[in-house]
Amino acid sequence: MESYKGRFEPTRFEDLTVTVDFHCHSACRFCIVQEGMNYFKGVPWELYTAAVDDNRASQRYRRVTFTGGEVTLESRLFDYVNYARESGSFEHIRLQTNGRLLANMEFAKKLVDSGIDEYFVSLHGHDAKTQDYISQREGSFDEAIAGLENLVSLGVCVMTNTVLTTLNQPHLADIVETVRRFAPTRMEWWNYLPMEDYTDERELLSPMDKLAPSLREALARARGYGIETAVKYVPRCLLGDDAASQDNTQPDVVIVEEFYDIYPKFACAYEAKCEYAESCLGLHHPYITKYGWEEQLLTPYPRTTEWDEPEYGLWVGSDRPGQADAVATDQPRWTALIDGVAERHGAQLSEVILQRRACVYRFEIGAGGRVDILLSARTQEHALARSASFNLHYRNLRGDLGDEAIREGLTALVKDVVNTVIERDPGGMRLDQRKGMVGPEAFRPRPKSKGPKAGVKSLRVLNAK
Amino acid sequence: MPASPDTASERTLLIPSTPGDRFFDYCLETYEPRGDPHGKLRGESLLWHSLELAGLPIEADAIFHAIQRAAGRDMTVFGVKWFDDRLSWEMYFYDPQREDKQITAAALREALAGELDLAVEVPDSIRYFMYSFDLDADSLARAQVPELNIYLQFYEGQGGHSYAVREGACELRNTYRFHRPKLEIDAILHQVRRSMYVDFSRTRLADIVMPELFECEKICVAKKRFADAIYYSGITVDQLLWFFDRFAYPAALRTFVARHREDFEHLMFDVGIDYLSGPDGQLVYPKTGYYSTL
Repeated sequence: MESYKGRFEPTRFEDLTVTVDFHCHSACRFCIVQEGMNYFKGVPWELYTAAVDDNRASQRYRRVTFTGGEVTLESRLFDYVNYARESGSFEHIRLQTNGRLLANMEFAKKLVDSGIDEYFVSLHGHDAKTQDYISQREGSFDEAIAGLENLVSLGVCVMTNTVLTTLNQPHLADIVETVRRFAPTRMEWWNYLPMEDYTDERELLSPMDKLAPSLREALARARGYGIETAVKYVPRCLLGDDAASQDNTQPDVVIVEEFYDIYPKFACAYEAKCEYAESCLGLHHPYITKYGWEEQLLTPYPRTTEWDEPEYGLWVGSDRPGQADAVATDQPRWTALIDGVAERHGAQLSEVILQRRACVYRFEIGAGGRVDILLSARTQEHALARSASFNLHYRNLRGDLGDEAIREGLTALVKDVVNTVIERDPGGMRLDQRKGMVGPEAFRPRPKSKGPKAGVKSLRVLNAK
Repeated sequence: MPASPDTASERTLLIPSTPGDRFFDYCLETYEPRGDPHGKLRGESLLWHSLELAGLPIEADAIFHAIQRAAGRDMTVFGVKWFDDRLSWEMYFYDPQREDKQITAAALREALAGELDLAVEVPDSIRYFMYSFDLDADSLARAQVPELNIYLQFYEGQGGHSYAVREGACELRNTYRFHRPKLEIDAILHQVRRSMYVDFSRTRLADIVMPELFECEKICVAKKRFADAIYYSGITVDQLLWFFDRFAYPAALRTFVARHREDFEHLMFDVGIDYLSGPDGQLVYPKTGYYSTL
């Protein structure tokens, strides 16, 4: 029932993103972790090193990204970077930064010398007046620009990131002009997500009739300069000639799970009509509440295939390093858990869908029969069954359940899958190596989130054994 | 209203699920529960809690128990209405194929005799597929219902008309149609925008088609005598909690459901919202309601 638009969980599995800690010397007006900085902590060293050690063997992650807060403020940053570099298991080491401290050439050089080869620098204004107003720190623009100059002179890869708000909406193309001399590899444009201010009391949400033309102009300008662009959280149909630049995926960030519970949900009135329903998130709820569904402004791309409720989000590719485009069932670590089960029931494993919080096996059986088995981290919450590492559920039943044969076939399949996973799960398996890196010890207590949970449909195989 | 309805009361508020439970939406169409019902609560717990919240004496419960006995467990849809800061109830009885003689208006009238007087006689020959009646503190105290709502189905599509039938009078009350929210968005928007009561030059669609409830199984758009209405069917307990907040239901109700959130997690709920433009042009919501089965 609930499409992925209701649950923000896009994932890229090849990137390991590490929050070293949560301090910042800017105070950006749109900051989405302003409050979170009071209780989020960074990844404990022991857990971080364990993940890197694991990657040395598995070669699962190609890139490690260090972020914060403002990660350059952290005295332990070089310890983290050195450990990653010395592991030899990452192709790239990236820094996500406001760039201010990089104005110091000595420091910038130290970063580069440590092995950081990619710099994702935030730039939210085209000039000092705008940027300093947004960051609430005088001189922050000049420092960031000086930092970019230093990075370029050091010959490393530079990217920029701009958060789209009412504060910079009129000047997006001007930002392109400002940074073009640095020849960034990529400019990313992330529409503002209200995470602690759903009612937009700060008035940062820019209406699409103003934001979209301004953004289109910026994208066109960047394209003219040969700069690759990526846009998040703006409907694809509003991006004009640069629609293909929409990219709503995110690498996972190692952070307390609760962080994701405060992400706003998304919806689009035209979801079922649009060819890109599976990748375009539409508009987030706070936006719709404030400005409406934009049903006049949005123009769905006609679908070429029948729409089906996309339950589990974007396909994230194989878990084989560097083979993200492999076929949907090429998840060797995960198919091993249920190898042979489908065949025993004349069924077919049609997809293995990996998410940050779940692994979903999708089975097809008979004429139109379908069921998904979902593995999530083992907890004491209700589950159909538990293996050593996981809670198991099933959901998304399809087929005529009134037909005894179909119902029995699905029931037997579900039982077999569940029992096989229980039998083969050696324990200690994680959906994501990063899971568990930040546990309860890593943040100060606060009220438990009450976010909605995904539904299951019942086949009444509750005692699977 | 009593301050703490979940504590000291003789009324049993928490009705546990049983293995034989069936799960119906407010159209009495079955759904698969969202999780294992074992150890959870039945939706009727919301009804008993609402009676407690409204301060009704426990004697009022006898009528609802009689209805449950007469119609069969799970077979009555109840709506709890929130109007003018007061709670009231509507009980719905479905039999679209007219297969069950036990549940015709005439049969129910007979079955409830002595408990509740259904004053209106509706002949079985009328091809209704559903009927309902309203109850409030007064009618429960009098144990009398002066009016039945009779629903006649469209030939195609899910929807119909409803009439209020009193002794010697019959009045068209409501025309409504159900839609699948995403696949039939054009029809939903069309229906919502055609309104005699809403000034859309001053009203955003999102104040009616609400993103927080849009993720549901069915949306029903209704045209009533004095307002329009929209119903969201098949929502989660979290959406129900959002609905309680959005429409300023009594804090005690929200607290009750939040406290038992996990006990209601396996269920799907339905909610309805009447709306119209007020004198100043702003959208107002005179009446809302939530539904489950008894």
